[in-house]
Amino acid sequence: MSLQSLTAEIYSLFEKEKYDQCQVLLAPIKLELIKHNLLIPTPANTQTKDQLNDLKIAQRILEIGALSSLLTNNYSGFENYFAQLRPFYSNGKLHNLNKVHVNTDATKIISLYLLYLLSQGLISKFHIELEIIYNSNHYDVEQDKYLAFPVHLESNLMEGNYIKIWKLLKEEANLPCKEYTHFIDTLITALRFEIAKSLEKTYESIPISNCKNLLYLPQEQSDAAFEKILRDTFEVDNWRFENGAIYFTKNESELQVDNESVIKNVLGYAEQIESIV
Amino acid sequence: MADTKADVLMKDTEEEVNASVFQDLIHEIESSFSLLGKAASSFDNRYISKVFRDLGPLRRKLANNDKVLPTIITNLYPANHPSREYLLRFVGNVEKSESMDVESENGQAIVPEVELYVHLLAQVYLLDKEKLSELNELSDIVIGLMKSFNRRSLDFIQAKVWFYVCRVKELLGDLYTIRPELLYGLRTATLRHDIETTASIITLLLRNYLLCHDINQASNLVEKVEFPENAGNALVARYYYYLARINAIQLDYSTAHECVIAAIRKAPQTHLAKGFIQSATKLSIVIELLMGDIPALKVFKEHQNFEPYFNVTRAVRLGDLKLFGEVLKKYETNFKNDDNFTLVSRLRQNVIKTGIRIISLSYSKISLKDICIKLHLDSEESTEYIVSKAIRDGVIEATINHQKGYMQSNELLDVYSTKLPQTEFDQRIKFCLSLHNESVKAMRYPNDNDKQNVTKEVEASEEIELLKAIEEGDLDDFMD
Repeated sequence: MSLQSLTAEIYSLFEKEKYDQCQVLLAPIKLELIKHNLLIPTPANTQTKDQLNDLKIAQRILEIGALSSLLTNNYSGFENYFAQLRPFYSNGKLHNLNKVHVNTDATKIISLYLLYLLSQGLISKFHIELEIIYNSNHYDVEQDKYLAFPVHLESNLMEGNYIKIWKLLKEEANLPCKEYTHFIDTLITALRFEIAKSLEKTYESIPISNCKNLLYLPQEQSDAAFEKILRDTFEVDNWRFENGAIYFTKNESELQVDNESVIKNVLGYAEQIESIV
Repeated sequence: MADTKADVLMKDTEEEVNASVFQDLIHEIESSFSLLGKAASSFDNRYISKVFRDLGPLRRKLANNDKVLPTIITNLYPANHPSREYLLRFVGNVEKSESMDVESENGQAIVPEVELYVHLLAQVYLLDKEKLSELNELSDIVIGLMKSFNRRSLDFIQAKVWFYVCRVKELLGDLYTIRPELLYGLRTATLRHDIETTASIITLLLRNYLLCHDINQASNLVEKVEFPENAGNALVARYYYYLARINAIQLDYSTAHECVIAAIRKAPQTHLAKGFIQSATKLSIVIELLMGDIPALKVFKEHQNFEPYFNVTRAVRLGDLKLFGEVLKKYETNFKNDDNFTLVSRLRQNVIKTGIRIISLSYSKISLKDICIKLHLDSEESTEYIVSKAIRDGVIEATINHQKGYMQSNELLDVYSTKLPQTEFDQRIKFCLSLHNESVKAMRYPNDNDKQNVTKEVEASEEIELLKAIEEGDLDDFMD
């Protein structure tokens, strides 16, 4: 099949939300793109207007690839497509890099990638991306509804302002586009995990019903079911469930002075000093 | 008429002065040529260090005397030498009368050291004259020239030449095209154990990546390459500075802090390196704040133009979110110029944490509602989460009573009953010991069999001068 017909087909499949079929179609399309030297923008293939147009189509195809992999839970695929899109987004001939572009498909994909990094807990990668975004002229984080979302999410997460995150995640109207719903569940689990870890350090004990509230779990849930969920998902071995309350045992072994290390250190110093004298 | 006469007289004396300066300069450069020749024959790189010590002042003089370099070049190269033609084209030709009676050494072959040094001088000259496109053209030729040599005595000069090659690309805003050449150069230098050039190229690559904000690439590079241990202090300082930046962005603040401190300590303590020390200090302030420490007031007094950082520190210290927001807005451009904006904006959470810490120190028991009001937070519920996060991060020692809605600070622990002083002590002792060991390693011991020769060949005064040159290192790069 020629590239044109393949492109037309994948466009229509994507419109009809048949993402599985999109995935199937993407492999041959990418082969065609390589044959036409369109998979990567280089100085050689960004000369004429026609070439630029072709490259824009190639970019769209890759974007479809990224979105459809995401929606079919193919995360490594999503990461791959994002890596392939990167040279497109930073190419000065395809996009005017000195003008601010807001709410574009590009920022949408980037912000989805940021969310992906957050949901996986890859904070340092998240900040590396952020560094690039803040330092390019063509992104404006505060004005861009797509980019602002993960950035606010992260800063609230770091502050511990969990209630704001909960509100952001829970109301669909807050989400800039439907693809975000995909991450909600993972993010909520991550959020609960964070809260649980804070709880065990903060309280000596807490009534179960309050704990349910704090973790945003439904009140109707039976205590046993609640306990089971906690034990399954959030590593809560030192939580004791007694009489409708939870007690947290703290490990306090650190206060002991351990003699062995003292001896080891002192011997080390002696050795060094001997070599000096 | 008298006026014109005086004018003529003035002109004459001026010309005389110029002429003598001119002769001095020619002489100076030629004596450095003979030093380079010595370095080549004796394989002692200290002579090159000595030449480079004089490069800084020489550079300024060259920029003021347009005719010196062309004369040097015509004197050095025989008429049919290929380098002569293009070098003269770049630095400007001499009128016939000027290339007069100075003896030319056309007969003997030119030592590569001298040849490369002349190219370096041409680079410096073009850079000072802001003839960037010519310099860029010259870069390509010099890279080719360097590839054709393989002599250890060239290492120091090569390291410098690379610096200017990259500098011009940076000024032209053309950061991508030089990368392959740099990587190729790095490979060759590493294979030849050419320590100076390896170190120099690594720092240049890191700088290149960081200018593009390509942290991924930079951290990949750091992972893969091994920075030579014995590289010059100036290069080591730079390398640590870049490491600090990379680590800070990757949220590894304690490593970043170690690196930035090392960078400041290793940086040469002369006025030439002021700019470097300043930006390193700025970075270290931000990193310290991110780690939850407050930098000493002394730091701000030592430097000028630290207002933005001083105000940020104040906002963090007071735990005042509103003030922090104002400062961030007011000095946004300053922070962006220093490339610290993203790091500074991460401080928001620290502001809240310090606020909580201050409250927990002042009150042994306080209701969540009061905390909420004091810190301008949104609601009581969010306060509870934020306080509990602070407890978890070890910012404060406290517990929350959920039913009654208050925070209770724990009794202050006596630090001397813990292992903390001991570990702190241990760290300091280890630092002192390693400092001692390093200084022992850094001393130069002459080989036993060379001993007699050395004392004869190198005069005592010369030895001292060489040592001085090494001590001061090559600081010239820091001027930019």
